[in-house]
Amino acid sequence: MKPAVNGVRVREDVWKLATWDDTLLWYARAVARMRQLPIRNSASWRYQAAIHAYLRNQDPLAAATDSLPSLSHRRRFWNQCQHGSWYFLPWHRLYLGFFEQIVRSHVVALGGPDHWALPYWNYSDEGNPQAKLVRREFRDASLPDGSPNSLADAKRGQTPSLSQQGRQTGDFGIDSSDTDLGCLLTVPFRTGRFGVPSGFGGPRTGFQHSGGVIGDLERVPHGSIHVAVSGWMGAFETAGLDPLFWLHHANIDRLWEVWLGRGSQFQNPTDPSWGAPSGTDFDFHDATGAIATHTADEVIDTTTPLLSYRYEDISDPLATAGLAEEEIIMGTGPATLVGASEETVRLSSSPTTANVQIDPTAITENLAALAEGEPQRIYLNMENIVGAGKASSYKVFVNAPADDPEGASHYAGLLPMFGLAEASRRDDPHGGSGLTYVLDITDAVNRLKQRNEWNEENLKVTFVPKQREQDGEGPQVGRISLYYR
Amino acid sequence: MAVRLALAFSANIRSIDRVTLWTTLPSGVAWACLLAVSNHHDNPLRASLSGGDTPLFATDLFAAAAEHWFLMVAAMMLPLLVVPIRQVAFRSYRWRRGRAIAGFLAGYGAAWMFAGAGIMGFLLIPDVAALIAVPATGSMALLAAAGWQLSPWRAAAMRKCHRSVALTPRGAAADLDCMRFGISHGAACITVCLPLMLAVMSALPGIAPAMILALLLYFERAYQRIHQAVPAIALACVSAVIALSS
Repeated sequence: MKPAVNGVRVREDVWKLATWDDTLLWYARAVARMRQLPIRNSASWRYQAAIHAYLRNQDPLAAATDSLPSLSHRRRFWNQCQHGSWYFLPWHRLYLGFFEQIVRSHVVALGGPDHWALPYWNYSDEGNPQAKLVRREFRDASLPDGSPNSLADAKRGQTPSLSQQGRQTGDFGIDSSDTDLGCLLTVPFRTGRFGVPSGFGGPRTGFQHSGGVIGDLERVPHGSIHVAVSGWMGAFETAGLDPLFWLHHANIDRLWEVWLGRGSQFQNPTDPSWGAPSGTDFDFHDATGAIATHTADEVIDTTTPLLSYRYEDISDPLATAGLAEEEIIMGTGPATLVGASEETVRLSSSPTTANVQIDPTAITENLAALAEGEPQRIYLNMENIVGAGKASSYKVFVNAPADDPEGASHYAGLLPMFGLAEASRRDDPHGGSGLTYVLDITDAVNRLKQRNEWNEENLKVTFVPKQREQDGEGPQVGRISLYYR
Repeated sequence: MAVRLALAFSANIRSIDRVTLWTTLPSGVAWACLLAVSNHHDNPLRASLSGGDTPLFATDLFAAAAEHWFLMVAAMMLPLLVVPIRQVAFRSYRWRRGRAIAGFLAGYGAAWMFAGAGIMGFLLIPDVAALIAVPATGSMALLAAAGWQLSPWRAAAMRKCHRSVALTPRGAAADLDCMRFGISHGAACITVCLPLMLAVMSALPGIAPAMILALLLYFERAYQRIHQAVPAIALACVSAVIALSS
């Protein structure tokens, strides 16, 4: 465990810690202590998970003796997680900050160090062949002293076989499509226009618990890791019950710092409605149980007394890996609809293909609207995806031939359905509108054009489930549409 | 809270677009018409029923009531439609955006006019008309509206007001989708707003209270974190004032 400097603690890469390093050992002890507290106590494990989301009938730890906080208290402090929003990153930073403070207070109460900080799980680390595996400390049934390990009893795994394999080897089926860092190439933090990807951090919204258009970082690796680990991690209501959740989100929070460090064009929003005084504020409890209310702009600097942490490593992985340096700049103009599917599309446990009819008049209008020399971008929208049941991920391919539906040159992106069930419920703030994903497929289309595989009248979109052993009916895509800008 | 709302509103004003403009302008015109024709000493509901207002075009009582209702709906509701109209427009081909918006507005307007016809018919029953002339009725209506504001049914309808839908891109199916979306959005709006509108229109004289209510409804829709209790408390307070002063 690295020492704090001037009160600023260090969040370390969990894969660089020794086996049962103090950071993990004290985490396990603190979690065990938090698990013993009643759900009414804001410093308890279940209360902390309920801040993200809570549904009584989905609570795997529910007991007849539970006494929940009052309805008005729950309305103010529970079910607060921000998704499909430019508040996704700042809200989760605050959430983790207060959680870390609370865990540290338990660590200190147990006689541990006061500079304990949450580690992060860098599953995208190309230099570490084990990066995608779940560490042994989160799987072993007991601590080195033989006492029960509170880090290990979360339910995980997309399928029974993956669950068993994961528990034994740490391999829950996470692959490079789940850990892709293409989001770091996206320049705007947020957009708010129809048909256009919503930026690195998510679209401009008010308070938004679920639904809407998902931002690039929130889609992959955030959503994809949630879905790949699955089990408790696969749903809003249970995610915070898995100790891995917090390491995953520490990494997402770290990637925000990495993105900001990539260059001067990678900037946080400057809109007055993002932070104080006119932006949404968020309520939490600190380690003393006192109410703490903060806005997005208060968390930009992680080393201020409010948060007091920094990351061990925020170097740019794209620069060191020598990957493509092209930045995805979405511009300021609106995108126009040029094609759409005529019917809804039901996904299943086998590949599903849908046709998008392209409208020639719309293409002509779009070309006329483009300024001379302005590069054209092409966006694939999957609108109003609804469904229930366990979240799964789908790989999207465009104009893939029947004999090679998963060819790399036709790959458009990954759709992790994290939050799908929540966004599809009638009591969702958007009345069950579901999720909307926007993929920038400009490069894929250019590749197709070079090989004469692009058709200006019709686009074929294929959805391939990552795990074929799915149960029940798959999600329904309300409409697939193509936008040009 | 008021300062924050004002700042957020001014930020919205700065980012105004054509859809905002083309919903706000007709709303402004409708308010101007209402101000011009209204009898400022009577409550709007009773005035329109008794012919107390001077209609712009209508020649008989029912047409005058319909005209007043149409203006009131246009004035109060159009600013609330920026988001769904934007959605209908940008999820349609550029060449059929006008048609898509017209379809949505036709469905939305039809829902409100249907509700209005029902209410007018109900209020024309002599006993009911006599009842709304009593100040205590207005006070009770405001109190009931305050209760409705806090009800789970209203909250459910409000969630429907934030719904988005997938639209068929072309043909008659596209027109039907837009119209259907207008009707369902209208039904949700009616559930959310109508009880409050009726209470304010039956209890308070002139157009100003309706304007204040329209602002409350706008902020409630635009800034979802405004607590439901804020408008409820406001309505309950006005109810108490009327009850005490009558």
